[in-house]
Amino acid sequence: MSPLAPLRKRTLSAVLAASLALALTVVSLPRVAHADLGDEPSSKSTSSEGGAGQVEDADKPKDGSLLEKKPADAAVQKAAAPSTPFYEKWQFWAITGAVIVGAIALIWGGQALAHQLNGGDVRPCNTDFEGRCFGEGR
Amino acid sequence: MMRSPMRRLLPALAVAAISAGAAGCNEFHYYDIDVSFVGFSASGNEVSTIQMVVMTVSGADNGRIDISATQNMGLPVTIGTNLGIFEFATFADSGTLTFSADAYDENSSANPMCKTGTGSVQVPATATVTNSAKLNIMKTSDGCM
Repeated sequence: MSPLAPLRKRTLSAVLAASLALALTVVSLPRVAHADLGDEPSSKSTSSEGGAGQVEDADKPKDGSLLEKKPADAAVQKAAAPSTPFYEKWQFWAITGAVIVGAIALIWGGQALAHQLNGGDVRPCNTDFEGRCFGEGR
Repeated sequence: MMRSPMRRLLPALAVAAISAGAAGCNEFHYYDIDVSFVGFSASGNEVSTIQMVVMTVSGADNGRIDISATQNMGLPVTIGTNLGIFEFATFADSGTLTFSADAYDENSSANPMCKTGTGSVQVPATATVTNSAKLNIMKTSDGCM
C-alpha cells in the first residue's frame, strides 16, 4: 500500500486548484490590462484633483449621439441669446419717420386749415382807398 | 402691438395741430375810418393847407399811419373837406379801438407847433369783419402857415 493519496483524489484536488487559479486570473485580468495601458490610473489621477469630475466622467454617456444638441435645445438657446436693440431695427426707424412726417403734416395742415377757416390772409386794400390801409398783415 | 398706441396718438396729434393752428391764426377785422376836416374856413380853401395827417390807433390794438402830401394819399385836399377812407386791419375782436388823427400844415414832420387840427373816434371791436366809422378832424389852431 502506498502512503500517498489515491490518484483519483489528487487529480480532483489539482483540477479544483487550477480552476480557482484560472478564475482569479480571469477576474483580475481587465484591471491588469487597464493598468498596463495607463488609461484608468491616469484618469483617476486627473479626476482626483477635482472631486466632482469623477462623478461626471462616470455618468458621461459613451454614445456620442446622445451628446448632440437637439432642436429644443437650439430654440431655447436662441431665445436666451441677446436680441438686437430696437433702435437698430429698420421697422423702428420706419415707424418713427412716419410719425414725425405725419405730425409735421398735421401741424402744417391744421394751421393752414385753421387759417383759412378764420378768413385767410389779409384782404387787399381797396383801390378806392388809394393805399391808405394799415394795421395787421399790411 | 404698434397699432393700438398709434390709433390713440394720431387723433391726439390732429387735435393738437388744429388747436395750434387755431391759436396762431385769428380772423382779420377791418375798420374803415372815413376822415373829414371840420371847422376849417372855406375861404381861401384852408383845408388845402393841411400837408400831413398822422393817424394812430390805440386800445385793443395799436397802429399808426402817416399821410403826407408827397405820398399821393389824398393830401392836399383840393375839393371838399373829406380826406377819404382809411382801413385798419386787426385781429382784435373785443375791447375798444380808438382812432386819433392830427393834422399839420407842414409837410416835413409832425411838428407840434404846426398842428392845426385833431380828432378821435372810439369804435367797439367786434367779431364783425368790416366796421365803419367817421372821424372828424376839428380845427384847433392856425398852425405854422
